[in-house]
Amino acid sequence: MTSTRRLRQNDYGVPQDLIEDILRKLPVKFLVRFKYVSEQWLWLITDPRFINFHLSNQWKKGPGFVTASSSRSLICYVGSRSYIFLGSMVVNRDTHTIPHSDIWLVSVPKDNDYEMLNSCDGI
Amino acid sequence: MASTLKKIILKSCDGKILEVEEAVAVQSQMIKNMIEDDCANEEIPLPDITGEILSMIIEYCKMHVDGENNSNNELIARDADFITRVDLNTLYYLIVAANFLNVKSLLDLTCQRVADIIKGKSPEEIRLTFNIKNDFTPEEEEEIRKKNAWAFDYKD
Repeated sequence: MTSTRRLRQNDYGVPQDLIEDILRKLPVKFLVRFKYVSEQWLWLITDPRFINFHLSNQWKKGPGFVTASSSRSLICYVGSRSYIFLGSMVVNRDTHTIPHSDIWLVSVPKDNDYEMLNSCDGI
Repeated sequence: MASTLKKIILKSCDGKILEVEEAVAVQSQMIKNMIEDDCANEEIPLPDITGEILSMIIEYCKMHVDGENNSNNELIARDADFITRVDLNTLYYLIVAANFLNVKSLLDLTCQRVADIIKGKSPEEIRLTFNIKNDFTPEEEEEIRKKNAWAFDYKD
């Protein structure tokens, strides 16, 4: 029995849908980092179905933001099938608060030239 | 009194027989369905689950049945205590078994634990951990890295 167990120890035959369950628990930053683990992981992580599931999972934990672009903007990831929809808002640099009235949504094609700096709270 | 409680008999792939109280066994949606369909009167063979993993799952289910009246925080603390005792290799078997038996809270707990463990790893370490072959060319890898440079800041 030991030999069987040793064989399976190196196998880690965790089915793909369970890998998906695990990845769904990860904040976006780590998912982006893990995109080049393999083609299968890249396909899985960028699959719109996965993105939607992930987003709904993360939203249960509360809203989250991705800081991006210039030092005074926050960009909020809200997900989409063909685009990453980004809500851009100006942050008050002194108080670090976000005036809600300044929130607006823009759609940014995936390859647009913007720079992600950081993420928080699962987004 | 206890002897009158209905028992469900489970048989692991390595031949271990476990008698489990029905209240504990129905934490598994799969077994619950079998009981409802009147298919759980004889021993239930579990072809891909070892006795060791099955015992752990029963321990987990029992803990949840016994702790039904406990506060949420107490249950979370017990879950944490249970899961941190499990090594990564055993976790994989637990995930597969929890999925098969359909114990949703355990599946959530085990997946979250693996996610927490792999968070700190680099993609190279992930490949080693899951025994995944890198099928990207160095150029493709570099391109993905460049496009997502913000995510490769390993401060966290």
